[in-house]
Amino acid sequence: MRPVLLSGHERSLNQIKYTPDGDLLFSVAKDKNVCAWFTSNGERLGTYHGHQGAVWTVDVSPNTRLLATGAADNNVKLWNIKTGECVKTWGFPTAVKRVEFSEDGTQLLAVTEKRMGYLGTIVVYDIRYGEDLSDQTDEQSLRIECERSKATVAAWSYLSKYIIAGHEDGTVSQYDAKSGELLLDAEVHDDGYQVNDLQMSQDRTYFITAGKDKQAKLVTCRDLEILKTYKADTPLNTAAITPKKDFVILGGGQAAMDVTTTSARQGKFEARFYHKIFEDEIGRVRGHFGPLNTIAVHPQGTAYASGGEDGYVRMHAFDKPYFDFMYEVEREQARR
Amino acid sequence: EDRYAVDIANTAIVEERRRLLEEWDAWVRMVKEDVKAEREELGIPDPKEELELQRIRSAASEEEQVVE
Repeated sequence: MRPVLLSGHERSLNQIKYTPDGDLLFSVAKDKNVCAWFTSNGERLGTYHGHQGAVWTVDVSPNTRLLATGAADNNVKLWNIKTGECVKTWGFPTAVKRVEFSEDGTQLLAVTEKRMGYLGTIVVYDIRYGEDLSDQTDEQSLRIECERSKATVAAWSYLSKYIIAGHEDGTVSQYDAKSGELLLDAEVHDDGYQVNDLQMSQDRTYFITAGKDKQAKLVTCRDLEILKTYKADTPLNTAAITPKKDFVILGGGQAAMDVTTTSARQGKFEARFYHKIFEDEIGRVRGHFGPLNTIAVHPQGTAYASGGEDGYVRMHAFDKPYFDFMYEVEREQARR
Repeated sequence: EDRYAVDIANTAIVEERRRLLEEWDAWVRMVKEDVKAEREELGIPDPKEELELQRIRSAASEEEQVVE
């Protein structure tokens, strides 16, 4: 599994996203830049300039016309993917940590940071795809205030029925996506250990969370029931579900400033593969020189990419042994 | 005797995996059906099918251009 190294960022990566057809990969980092890459050869298609602070989050609309970004400059920006121009900016009183389009692309959610005098919020905008992409509303269609514990991540469920949010205190909550009403709250991660990532399955009926408590959990959207637990030996920053194969990929690592003894693992920060159903760790992929901050899986399940604290994005195409790997009971089932 | 104990343990693990796999498949099937029913009831199209339709249409329009 020979990786393609994407070097274009000068600081640590925060989030990466594939387009729905997997042709492009978008990356955002602390260096204020948004990069677009061709996944076929790793060449850079372009850079989107405009944010004045670390860019925390990125998402692609399902029709691949718009890119949304959220940053430490307290802005959410919409970009015309084809032309690279910024078509809309929404300002907030605090930084924006997560953005995500709903499954049909008609809505965008944004998670805003908590700060003295401001509660953390989740806001929603309706998105238009007319001839003129800059024709967007200034009105929020929904605003949820997180009073107990701020949201760190959020995502849309199937049918855009729920907004699922992960919080600073380790809980996960389910909101009605129309009314904003809090419907359910679940202690998914250890108390006080932040949820760092939350990624939906392709059909958005369940999701995976990555926690600072060194665990990743597979949870249902409908009732926030914990289906599976994946245990690691390091705080987790990111977790992704692979289509085609029943695996999950986890990424994390102790940040250098948190390591008390000299680390013998330098250059050996790993993406960890677990079997989604059996919860066993089945393999690791080395390469990064710092913790893995973000992992994304190609929508067709043919590749994955990771972004690290080291400023690199590594793209890996899955090879034959990956697809051939099967537990005996899976083989048995496949034969039936 | 040791070998016998190992065999028993292995059998138990395989049995457990078989159970987990069946349980997972049953859950996925149930949820898929429920969401499909809910989708139809709400009249919300399946985004995957929509994407496929889009692909077919754009391919068809390209073909038309060639004919012209």
